[in-house]
Amino acid sequence: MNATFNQGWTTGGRTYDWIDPSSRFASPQLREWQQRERDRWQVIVDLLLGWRSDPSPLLEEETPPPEIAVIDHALRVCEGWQRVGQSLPDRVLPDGAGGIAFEWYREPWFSDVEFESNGQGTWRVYHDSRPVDRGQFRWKPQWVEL
Amino acid sequence: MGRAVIQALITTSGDGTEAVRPEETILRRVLESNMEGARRDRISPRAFKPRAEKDKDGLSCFREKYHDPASVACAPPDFVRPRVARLRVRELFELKLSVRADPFEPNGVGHCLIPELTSLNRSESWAGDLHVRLAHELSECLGPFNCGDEKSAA
Repeated sequence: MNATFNQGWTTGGRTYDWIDPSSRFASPQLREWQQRERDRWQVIVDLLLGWRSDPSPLLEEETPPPEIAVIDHALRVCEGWQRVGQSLPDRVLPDGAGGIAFEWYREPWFSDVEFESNGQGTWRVYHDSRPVDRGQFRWKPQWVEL
Repeated sequence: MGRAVIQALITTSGDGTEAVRPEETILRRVLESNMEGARRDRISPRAFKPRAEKDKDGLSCFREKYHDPASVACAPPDFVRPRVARLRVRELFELKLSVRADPFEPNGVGHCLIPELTSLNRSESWAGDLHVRLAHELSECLGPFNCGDEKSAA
């Protein structure tokens, strides 16, 4: 019986596997599609882990690399998105100030989510390059000195 | 005004201090990180987001009457597969943006700024909307350029 092994990660950089028991009911075509999706997610995870371990390629093009806390959060977000079937972002890139942005291009729609290094987050949706919706959130807890 | 006259005005040599005219085009370098991913045909709006510290006076661009796209892409020469976005100044003016000549060191003759887009307002929502329009509506993407051989563009 086939089982699907998904690769996860930890903030320490180690990886672990978990088994998705529902995959035993999937058709071969669906399993093939799931594998392609996992491979594409893995490309994104590898990109983030690459920035974490060696930001020098970004520094060479004078782009401030994302902060490690932001990368770790982005990795957790990717894991969550993958689990719930969120469509893959078309682009993941540094925001130029220590943060990370995810972008989706579904013409005529464009949307993005940005995790800034100061703990702020922003999401936006555009149609034909015109703003349709946007919102803000905090991704990092604010510690209050007592 | 005839096309030849317009072209003559554009190509008139100067010291780079003269006002940027609506007939001109300006160039902005687009880094590989703003192009890679599943949609390599679309420039990220973040290519037009001023840097947090270094763009306090405005978004840095180059006037095409002084610089060809390859020289903009490949300065400095160690960038990997850079591209260049070409923008028509007239269309920027229509968006209520201005373009200011800034022919001073370290960038030199032909450098210019879009002073409305700065480090200070880079995260404002209205500025973000402009970044999207500049990237997806107004830019003509050139390149990528092989900076080992500036003449070749894929």
